[in-house]
Amino acid sequence: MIALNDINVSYDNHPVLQSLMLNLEEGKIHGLVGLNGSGKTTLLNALYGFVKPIRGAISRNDRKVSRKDFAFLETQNYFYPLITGREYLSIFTEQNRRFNLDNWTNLFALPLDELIETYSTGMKKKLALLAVFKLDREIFLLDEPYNGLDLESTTVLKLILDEFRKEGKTIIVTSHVYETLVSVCDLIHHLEGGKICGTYQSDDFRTLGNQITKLVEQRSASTIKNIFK
Amino acid sequence: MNNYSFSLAVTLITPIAILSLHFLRRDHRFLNILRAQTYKIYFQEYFCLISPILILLSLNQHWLLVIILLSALVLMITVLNFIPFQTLWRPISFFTFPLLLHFIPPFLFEWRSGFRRSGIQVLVIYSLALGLSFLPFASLFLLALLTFVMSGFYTDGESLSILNAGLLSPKEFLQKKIFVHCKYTSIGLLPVLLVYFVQHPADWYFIPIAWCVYMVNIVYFITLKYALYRPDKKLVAETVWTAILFVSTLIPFLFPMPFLIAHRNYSLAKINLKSYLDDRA
Repeated sequence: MIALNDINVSYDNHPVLQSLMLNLEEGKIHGLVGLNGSGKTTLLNALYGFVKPIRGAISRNDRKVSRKDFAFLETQNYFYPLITGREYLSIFTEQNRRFNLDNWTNLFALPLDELIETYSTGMKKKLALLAVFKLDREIFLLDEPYNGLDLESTTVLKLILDEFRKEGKTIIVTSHVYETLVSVCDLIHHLEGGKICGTYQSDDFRTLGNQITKLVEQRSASTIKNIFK
Repeated sequence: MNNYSFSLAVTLITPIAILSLHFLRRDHRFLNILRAQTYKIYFQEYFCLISPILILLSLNQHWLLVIILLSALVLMITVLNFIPFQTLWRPISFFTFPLLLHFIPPFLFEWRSGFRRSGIQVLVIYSLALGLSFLPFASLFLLALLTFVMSGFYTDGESLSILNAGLLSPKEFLQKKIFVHCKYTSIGLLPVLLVYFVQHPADWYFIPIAWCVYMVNIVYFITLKYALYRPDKKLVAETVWTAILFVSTLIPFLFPMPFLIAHRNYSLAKINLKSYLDDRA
C-alpha cells in the first residue's frame, strides 16, 4: 500500500495540494482525474520526489518511498539533442531481463536509429514510454501517456498496461481523456482543488463521468452563453 | 624549447583556437540581426581575447609574431565574412559523424551529440595534432584546443529522467561522470601523446603536465554544467567560461585558475543537484 498522508504542496505560496490523503492499493491501475490545475501532475511529482511537500509524508508498506520504487513518464518529454532513439534508450539501465528491444520496437514501429528530432509527437511519446518500461520498476507513474498517441497506439498501450497489472505492477496514470482511464483503470481518484474528492471503482465510473461533466457545465455555461450572446 | 619557439607555437595555435571558438558560438544569427557589419563585433571580441598574448609577445619584443597574429586575425575575419561557413559546417559534420561515432560508447550521450554537432572540428584538430607532432609543443597545444572544442559537448542540460537513470546521489553522480569522461578522454588522446613522446622523448615530463591540463579542462566543463544545471535547458554564457579557460591555459600565472574554478563548481554542482537527484533514499 502506498499511503499519502496529509500532503501539502505550494508553489510560491500558492497551495496546490492541500492536506491530501490517499491510499493506493498495489498491483492495480489507478487513474487520477481532475480539471486543469487540480494538482494531478504535482501529485505525481510529489510521489516521485521532484516536488517536496511542505507537510505530510508518503510511505510504502510503512517505509519511506524512494525513486528506486518508481519509473516516471513526465507530461512533456524532452530528449537530449542530436541523439538517436537507440542511444536514448541505452542511457536507461535494463532491469527487466526479459526486455527485448526488437520486440518492443516492432510493436511500437519506432525507427530507433534515426535522430529523435525527426520523430513525430506520437513516436516521441512511445520512445519515452519504452524507457519507462525498460526501467521495470515496481510502480509506474504515467502523466498523460495518451497525449499524442494515435488510435492504434492507444489500444496497444491499454493492452500493455493490462499485462503489467497481471505481473503485479502498480500503475498510476493521468489523462485528460476520461474514456482512456475508464477502459484501463481499476480505480479512479477524483482530484479537485488539491484534494481527493472521491475514489471510484469500475461500477461507479459512469457516475464519476457524469459528475465531472456537470461540474464543467456549471463552470462554463454562463461564459459560453456570454460568448454566443 | 627556447622562448621564441614557445611564442611561435602559441602564435600558430591561437588562430586555430579562435576559429574553433567562432564555430562553437551560437549567437551568429543574433549578431546578424543586431548589426549589419558583424565582422566589426567579431574583430573587437577576438582582439580583446588575444590581447594578453599580444602583450606578452610585445614584452618579449617578438614584433614579427605580433604582426603575424594580427594579420591572421584580420585574414580570418575577412574570409569568414565572405564565405558562408555556418551554412556549410553542419552538413559536413553530419556527413563525417558515422565514422567517429563508431568509437564512442552509447552511454557517452553528450559526446555522441557533440560529435554530430562539431565532429569535423574534432577530426581536423586531432589530425593536425598527429601530423604536427614533429614540432615541439604543437601537438600538446592542439590537444588542449581539442578539449576547448569539447566544451560544446557539455552545454545542454539533460532531462530529469536521464539524470535520474542511475539512481545516484549528487556526489556519486558527479564522481562517476568525471571518472568516465576523463577515462575516455585519456583513451582518445593517448595515441597522439604516444606519438609525441616518440618524437620528443627528452620532453617526456611535459606529457603528464599536459595530460593534467586536459583533465582539468574536462572536469571544468562537467562541474560547470552541473553547477548551472536546469533540466532541459541550455547552459548560459558557456562561451565566456570557455574563453576564461582558454586565456588561463595560455598565460602561465593563470594556470591554477581553471582548477580553482572547477573545485568551486564541484561544490556548487553537488548543492544544485540535490534538488534534482533523490535525497529521500
